[in-house]
Amino acid sequence: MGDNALWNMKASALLELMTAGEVSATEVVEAFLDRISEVEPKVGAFLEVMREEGLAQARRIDKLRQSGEYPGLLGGLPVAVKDNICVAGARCTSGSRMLANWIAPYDATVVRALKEQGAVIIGKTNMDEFAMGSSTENSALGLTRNPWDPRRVPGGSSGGSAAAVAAGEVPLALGSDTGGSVRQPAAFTGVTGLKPTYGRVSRYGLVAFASSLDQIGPIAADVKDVCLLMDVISGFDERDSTSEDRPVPSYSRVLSKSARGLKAGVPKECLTQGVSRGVRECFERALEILEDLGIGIKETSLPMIRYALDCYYIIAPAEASSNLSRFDGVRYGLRAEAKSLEEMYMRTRRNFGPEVRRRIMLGTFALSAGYYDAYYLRAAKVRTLIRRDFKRAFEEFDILLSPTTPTTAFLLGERTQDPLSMYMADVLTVPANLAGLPALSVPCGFEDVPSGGNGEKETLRRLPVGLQITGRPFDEETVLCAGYAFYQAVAAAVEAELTCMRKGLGQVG
Amino acid sequence: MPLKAGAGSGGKHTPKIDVKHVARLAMLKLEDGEAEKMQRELQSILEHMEELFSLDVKGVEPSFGSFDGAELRLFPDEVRAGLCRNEFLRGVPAVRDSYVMVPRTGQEQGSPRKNNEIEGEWRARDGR
Repeated sequence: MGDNALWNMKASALLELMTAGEVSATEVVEAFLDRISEVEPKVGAFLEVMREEGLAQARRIDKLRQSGEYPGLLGGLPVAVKDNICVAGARCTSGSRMLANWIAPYDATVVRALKEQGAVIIGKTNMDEFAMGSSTENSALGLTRNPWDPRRVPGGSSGGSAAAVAAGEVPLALGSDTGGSVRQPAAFTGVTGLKPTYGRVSRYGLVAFASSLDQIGPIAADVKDVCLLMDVISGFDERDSTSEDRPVPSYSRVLSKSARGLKAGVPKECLTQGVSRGVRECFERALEILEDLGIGIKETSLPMIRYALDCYYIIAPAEASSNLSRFDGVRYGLRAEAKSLEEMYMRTRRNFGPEVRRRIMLGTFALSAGYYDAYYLRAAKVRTLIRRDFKRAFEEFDILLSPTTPTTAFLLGERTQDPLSMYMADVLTVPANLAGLPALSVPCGFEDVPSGGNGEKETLRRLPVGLQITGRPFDEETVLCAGYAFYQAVAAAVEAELTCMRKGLGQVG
Repeated sequence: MPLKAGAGSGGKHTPKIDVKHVARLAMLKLEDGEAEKMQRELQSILEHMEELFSLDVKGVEPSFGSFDGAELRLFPDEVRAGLCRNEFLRGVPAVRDSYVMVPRTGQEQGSPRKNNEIEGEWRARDGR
């Protein structure tokens, strides 16, 4: 087993094999389930693996194919779903003790779309509690490790989904992105992730964190597979009042378009935000590659994005404090025993973890009488200024480029005691959420860091670096087109490392 | 860089947060020792946001959503099949008939009964 193993193949290749009748959906799903059994003890990406349901769905898909029926765009492909997205009949914990035993009574719109297109939901993935965090360490229910280095975080909050794809446990996954929670873990684990334009993908069935920022997005090994998932999950949904009713292109089709002649801006502010040397070097090489592809690159300035992180850490907690008020023991999940209603609220809400409590406090403060204007309203105005910056930039440029994250994956425990240093991990990703823009993270190289051995044998660890491509609202096509062109140029090198890492994970020890 | 871990900026604009008051608004109970830690952490987060106050935002319209012109749609006012009540109630911690039950909010004569006693009674009655 190795390069040609089913679990090491991309979704598009697996689909071709299944369509040609060379392998069955059951064989594909079994291969991934076996892979999960093999490496999950080292990775910890899943909160729940849905073995029986997955195999039953795979058999249904095989029957459809045998009888000559079309099994859907994703017919037989395993997909992992972040545990804040509802799958009917399955636990939906949001990584919280508060919802540890809550069973979702319905499918999220994206999950329904996956099922309709023949996907096999294979499990629910670990995440920071209520998607608040950048390392998945805030999960109350389990520890996820970075498959590239088990001492490091996979990023977050969709750390489970990204780690599962990177480890070859699943070819496709869904995450959610409020301030970078799809792109940052994708960058940390060497896979591809897209935050779609706000309103492009339905949020119905997503546990709300910050409603004006949240978007569900795909994570996969390459841009082509991301397009495949986007083709399934995009589009209008009347159940989400912020879903946009406008035509959806075929994203897979944009891959045949040329990126030549696109104009790209590099906001100079993005390279001053604590970007490490290794990340900067990879980013600069990526710019050279893009230029060779015929993309025009010019430095630009978005002066307001230096305020984006502050702005985000007022708006997101403010919305969260309101959204999370529903977890009071009355209607969902956990209820603490108490004599009075108020005592029940208070005792139930003891079960929020420290970061969630911190953000509820911060958000409640920012919305409270006497401080609303100074904090929340001011942040909402700064958000306008940030959006204006982007609008201006997109008059001149088709896409904007930056590293996805200032550094590569940090060590487990390295930032848990200092909330501010954890927040810094989002500094390059939050602007796209504040402005509602589509943004892709695609692998662009590796940084070699010391493995931190006990001094005897100091070796180097390869840690992936992500390139972020941001586009105009509802112009995922251009973002994906540029991302695809770029990835073709680095795919051989990136995938050789990925395969090598995956093989190493499977070895005993 | 707006947020720098470690160095405080002095906090010219940053008020001292009354964490007990905020916790009360948020329906959170801070345990012994937690209030001081929370105070320190929030205070340092807010101090690092000081730079926001250097921006002139006079006359700037606030953005509460993601882009200009985005409007919330309303459902048409018509009856249609929704989520089945029973399916929803299955996830509710305490249910009696088709009602969500909570501890008694008003005081009647006599000592208030424990929630688990009441719940036990309902369960017995509902045969659960």
